[in-house]
Amino acid sequence: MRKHGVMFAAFLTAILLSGCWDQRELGEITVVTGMAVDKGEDDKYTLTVEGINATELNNRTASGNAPSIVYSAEGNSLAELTYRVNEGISRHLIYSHMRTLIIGEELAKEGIIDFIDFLERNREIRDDFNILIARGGKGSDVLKVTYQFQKSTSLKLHTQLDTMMKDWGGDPGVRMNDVITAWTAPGRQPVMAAVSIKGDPEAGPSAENMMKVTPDALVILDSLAIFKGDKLEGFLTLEDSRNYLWIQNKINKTSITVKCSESQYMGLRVYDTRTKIKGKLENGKAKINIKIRAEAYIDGTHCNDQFDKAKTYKESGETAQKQINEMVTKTIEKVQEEYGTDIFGFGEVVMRQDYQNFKKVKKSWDEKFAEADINVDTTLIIRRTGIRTKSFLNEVK
Amino acid sequence: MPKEKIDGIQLFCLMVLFMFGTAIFLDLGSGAKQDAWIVTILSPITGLLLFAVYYRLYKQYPSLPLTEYVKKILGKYLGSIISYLYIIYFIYIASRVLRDIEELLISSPYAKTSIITLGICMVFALIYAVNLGLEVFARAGVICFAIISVTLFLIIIFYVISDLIHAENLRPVLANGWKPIIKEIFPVNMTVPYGELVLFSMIFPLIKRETKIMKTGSMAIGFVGLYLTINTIVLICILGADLLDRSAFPALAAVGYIQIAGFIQRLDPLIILLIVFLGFIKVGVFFYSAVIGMNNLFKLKPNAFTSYSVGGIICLSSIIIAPSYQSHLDEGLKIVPYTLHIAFQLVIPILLFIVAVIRLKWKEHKI
Repeated sequence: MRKHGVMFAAFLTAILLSGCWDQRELGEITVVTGMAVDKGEDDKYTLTVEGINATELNNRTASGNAPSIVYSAEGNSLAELTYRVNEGISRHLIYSHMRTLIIGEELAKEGIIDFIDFLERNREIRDDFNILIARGGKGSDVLKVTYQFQKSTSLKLHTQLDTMMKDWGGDPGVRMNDVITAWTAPGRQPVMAAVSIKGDPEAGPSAENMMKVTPDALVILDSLAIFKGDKLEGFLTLEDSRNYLWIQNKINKTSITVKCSESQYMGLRVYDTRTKIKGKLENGKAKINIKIRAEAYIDGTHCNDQFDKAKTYKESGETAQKQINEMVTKTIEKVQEEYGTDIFGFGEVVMRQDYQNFKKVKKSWDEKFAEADINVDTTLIIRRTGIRTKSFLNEVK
Repeated sequence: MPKEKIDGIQLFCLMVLFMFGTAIFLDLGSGAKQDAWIVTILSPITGLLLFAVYYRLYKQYPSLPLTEYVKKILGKYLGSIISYLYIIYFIYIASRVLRDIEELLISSPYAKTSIITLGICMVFALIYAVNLGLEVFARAGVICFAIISVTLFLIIIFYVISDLIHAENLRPVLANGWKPIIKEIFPVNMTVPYGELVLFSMIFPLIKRETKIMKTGSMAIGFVGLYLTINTIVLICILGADLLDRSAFPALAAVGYIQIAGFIQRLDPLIILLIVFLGFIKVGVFFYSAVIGMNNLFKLKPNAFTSYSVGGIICLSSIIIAPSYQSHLDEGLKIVPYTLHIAFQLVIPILLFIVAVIRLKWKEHKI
């Protein structure tokens, strides 16, 4: 009996300790970092994936070859296409480390709701990638452009958008769940960042492109794409995109330029900002109150103000407040007038604070949004002025 | 009867883990949208009432498990049938819970493993545990309790640190009134996890005499209710009511968003580990109760054969009970609570209780 027991134990050890049966060695896989979805020519979609060439990303092993492989396949369902792309790529593709999803403008205009379900359902794909619109072009072209530092555009964009959001705020920081919630929950429409190719898209997909100081093709963060439902409505400028973030209380730090007199400006670095929105419906008309509170320091000035006086701090602060009010109001008005789609989620605010009235206008909220009264009230406090008090500008002979 | 004895702390841990079971990872009360937390804060009260009934019944026959005193109350034949049905019920629920775990494992980390493999691995470990007896199981429960509560606490802290809590998701409160909440509590949230405590009627006789069962039990129910409420609030704050309703495993979805300093991230395996722990305890307790019930009913001496056969049945039926995950869920949410749970957790115990009281009164009257 004992002997049998030992043999059985040895047998089990041999089976169980040999590891997972579905293991894959690193040499058998290719990690996908970017995905682009465009309108297909014959079928519904063209899926383009970018598989990374890991040896090229390491400085020691890089030999100057192309950093990644980009391949497109056409079909009607993304779920199938993610496996079909193996018709051109040799190794098994791993999607869990995807960094960016780029959607072509043409497809975005027709509606994107169909394929997002696949991305949400798939167990491998995590909800931590950036969703972007390729403005004025195809998503696949954007994926193909090479870049000096991160080498592949999908990795570059991921880092770039994060940096941008942290320092200035041009990327709305939208993840898949935000988009889906905007579609399903009442009182909000989705937005996404939009990128475009600066230069010659034809020159993008070559290793030479990353060897130049001024690349022939460079993917830049272009604007903010706004949607009505799942259809692309239009684009706002980067400035608007920052203001959008400000209204969403998503901004960490930003810089603004305040005009103090004709052709004289003052740069303010804004930090610690908080936005509170109050909304209600009064006699069928929406009233939205946006309260922005921010702190700032002077980052550079052409103005001849004396920054060694506390009074100047206050006056400059008030000028800045006024300007922020105008700036933010202008962004909202632009959206109200030109697009009439509530990307700011004011409907959501009203729903939370005044549900009984909101229930009645739930279906036609976007119309209510278009004629809503918006009131922006900013409090900005200038705390310090860098490492100088007075500017030398006053003392120039 | 085996003479195993478990003490108050072990009972508490076992009850808490048992109720956490799969409840902690499912979308409790999500039919009430952002008011789901009201559901989880109210349902322990109904749970406490049920538990009081089970406890009173046990008090009448302090040395017998449920399947035995049924015979005393209802007579030999009817009682035997009822206790036979109870054993089948325990086995069925055990295989349902096992299926839950298998589905979770197969839909996230073990996509390429066959579902029966997972079941067999789990059931072998369970048979081993059940053969060792409840006392060993309860001691393991205390260790698991420590590990699990620390991990759950850490995860909540991680949620807060990664700035995922959006408290505004909780509003508007009571947008559609109390109706959806009542609908959620009765019967689904009353029966799972609180009503399933009927199973502890099998275990009460194994508890040391001096333990205050009612006190320990209420504390466990209170603790679970509190934790589930916090958990639900946190999940609503992170995911929003819509995604909560749509996710197959909300806790898994929420943990995926944790990202601290680019260092602490992708904690999904942690949650899966916890689910396996909890599921193991829950299936184990059902399994054990079925085995002692069976031994008692058929007057068998404690032997390994019963546990092996019951284990085999649980493993197989976990796969047979439903052709797809959705039909499994549908059964779990729309059929089982209304038929099986209400019958076995509510109707039969209360009827038993009434009959027992009448019998007692009648006996006194006679004397």
